[in-house]
Amino acid sequence: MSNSRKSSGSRHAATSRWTPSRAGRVGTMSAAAFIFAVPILTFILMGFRQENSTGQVPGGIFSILGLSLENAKRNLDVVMSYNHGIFVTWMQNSLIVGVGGTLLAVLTALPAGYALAKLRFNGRRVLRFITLLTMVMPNTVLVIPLFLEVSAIGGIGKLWPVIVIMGFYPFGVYLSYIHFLTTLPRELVEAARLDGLSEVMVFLRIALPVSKQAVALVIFFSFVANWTNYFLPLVLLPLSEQGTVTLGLQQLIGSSPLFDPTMSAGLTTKLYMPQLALATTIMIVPVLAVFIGAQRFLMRGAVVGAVKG
Amino acid sequence: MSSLSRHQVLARLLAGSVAAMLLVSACSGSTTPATKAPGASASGAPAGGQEDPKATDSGGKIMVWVDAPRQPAAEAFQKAYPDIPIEINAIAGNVGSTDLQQKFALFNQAGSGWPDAIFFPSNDDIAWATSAKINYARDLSGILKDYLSGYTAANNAPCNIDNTVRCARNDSAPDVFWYNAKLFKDWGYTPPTTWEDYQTLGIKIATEHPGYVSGFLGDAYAPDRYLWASGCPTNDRLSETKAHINTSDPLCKRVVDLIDKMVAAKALSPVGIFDPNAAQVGPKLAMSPGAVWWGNYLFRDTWKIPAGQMTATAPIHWSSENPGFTGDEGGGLWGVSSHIKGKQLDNTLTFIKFVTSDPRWQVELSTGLPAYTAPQQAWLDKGAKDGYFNDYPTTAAAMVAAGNAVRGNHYYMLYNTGGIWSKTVTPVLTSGKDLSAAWDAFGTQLVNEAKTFGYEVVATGN
Repeated sequence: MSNSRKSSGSRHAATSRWTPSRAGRVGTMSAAAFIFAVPILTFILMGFRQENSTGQVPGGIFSILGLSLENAKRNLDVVMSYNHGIFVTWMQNSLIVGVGGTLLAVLTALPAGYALAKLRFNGRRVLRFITLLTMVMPNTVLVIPLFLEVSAIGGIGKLWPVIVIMGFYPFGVYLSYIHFLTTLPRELVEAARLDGLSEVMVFLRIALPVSKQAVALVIFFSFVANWTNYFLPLVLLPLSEQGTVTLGLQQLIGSSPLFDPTMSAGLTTKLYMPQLALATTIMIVPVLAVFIGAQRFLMRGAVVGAVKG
Repeated sequence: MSSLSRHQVLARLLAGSVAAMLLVSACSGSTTPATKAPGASASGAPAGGQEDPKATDSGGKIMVWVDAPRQPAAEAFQKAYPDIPIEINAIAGNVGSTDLQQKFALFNQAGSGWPDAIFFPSNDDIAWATSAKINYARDLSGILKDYLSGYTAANNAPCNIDNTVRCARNDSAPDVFWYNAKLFKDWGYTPPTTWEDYQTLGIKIATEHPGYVSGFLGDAYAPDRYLWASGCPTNDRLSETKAHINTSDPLCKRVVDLIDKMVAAKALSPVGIFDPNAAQVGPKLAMSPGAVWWGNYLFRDTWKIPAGQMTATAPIHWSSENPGFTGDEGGGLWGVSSHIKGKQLDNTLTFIKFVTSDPRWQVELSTGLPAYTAPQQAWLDKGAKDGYFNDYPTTAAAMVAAGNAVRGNHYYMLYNTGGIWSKTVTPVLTSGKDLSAAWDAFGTQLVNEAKTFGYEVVATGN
């Protein structure tokens, strides 16, 4: 016992010793963390300040003076008073298309990934190639054809076409494909087939229960992609009240005297830096919530494909 | 090839076909039918603001797009005309943004989606909205002929394009001549009436009263204030595809020389009127040409200059010109869709008349001097009660008169002259150099941007 304690103690002493190399590493990483963290923190804290002018914020934007919950509440009231509280509608629309698109992506990507990984059928390679091709294709390339197609069926200004298009998520298919290819033993699938299970039942009873990480990864990446998608809603949802919060945020910025001072004379709701910062912070909250919820799976899922199961 | 199996060959052919199809479909949006009639727009409607042959009628419901400051106008209409169903859509007011134009291009592709009436967030928007490609803004000269006679010619001039009237002006924003009457009385000066006197007095004020300035150069409206007023051809639209730009013109040179001399004497500030630090320089303004909206927005509300000091007088003019001309800084524009007809069109025109002339918006809510003549006096009377200006009768008379003195041959174009000024001139002035040091770059950039937008640039206006 005492030897063990001594050994443990010496190990602890060794790891806690500040060698120049270790100090350099820690110092570099701390500096990098500081550079990234300070703007984010000051931006979030800006929502707790009170500054209603286009002038420079007293103390500079990195100041932490004058923070209070009352300020945040006042800023929130100003954001909510913009265009009769349309910010809530934008958040609701974002949630609808974000969650709807994610559910659809999970429902389609996992079976598609499984099929590409475990089934043998004609055209499998072509489908895999097309999946990769659509993954690398920028969204903007498809905007005009998508707009014309959605317009042809009378879907402009409706949320469901946006959900359907968001549900088409080739990255999720590829992620699932890699997951099933590397973590689901072929012997397990073959054994299930020998036991008489159909391909659908093999997927549902054998593959899916061991794929929590893949599901979490597809949910997280799909939701973040949907939530931050700007171009698709911009084109398919032309009216303000149909828009998502990404479009709304751009409208808030465009309606601020900070960015177009000529408008300020006629504005009833004047949005300045604290109000815009608060609106942006609120917009980030759902993504943070999904990240925290999926974190456990994301950490494990990060090594998907590294080791065969 | 011989090493590939039949399946592999087929698979590669199929993949190549799919990739080609995707690329073709992505590009197809920008093509126009080969059978398009000459003079027709991309949407198929005849160009020139004539009614689209495929125009539709909702039966009465109208859709209007407004930026945030004009939202109360649409809501006032809703209240005044409860029997007209109206949908109000808020749009972002970013000057220089192409989002709006892109949306209209997509609507043209789809053949639907246009608003029935719109307040253009930037006056430059009228250039693309009347282009043969977009052809959104209807010619109002026929259907609103009697109503449009209620504008003076100069006040609705930005809407007169190729002998058609493609919009209706919301407010008038001509440059008057502002000065601090209290300072002038204390110092024993009289306000100048010519640009030459303005230069002389500006230098004298800077010499005798260091720190006081006689104008601002750093904002995007500065070229409107100085170049437009002088007649410098930066925005002379000869046709939809031809622009007359010549920064070597004597009308440019005279104003560049004037600015250079005043900059050298520190009589003009390189700061822009909207800059945060203008709040410190603003109260030190002795005199300046400036838009009518400077009075309430800048002097009273932003720079908090005490009441009873600022006042306006008639625009200054070049001694060689009589009568003189002035520039113009903004004054928003309303457009009507060329894709509607029947009751929908009637209600839209009712809306346009309301927002441009009804006192319930133009007098009670709008902050700008109405461009339409009828509500102007009521708006001025409302201002008289405020008691902010030193000499209100003179100020009010100057505002109305200036609206009719705005120099012609200046149009809103696809390129943004103010933006080019901000990029090329303002940094040079801020670094302590004069306007001449930036003039070549400004002229070159102006021509380059005009060419980028498809204009043929010529150096003479004939």
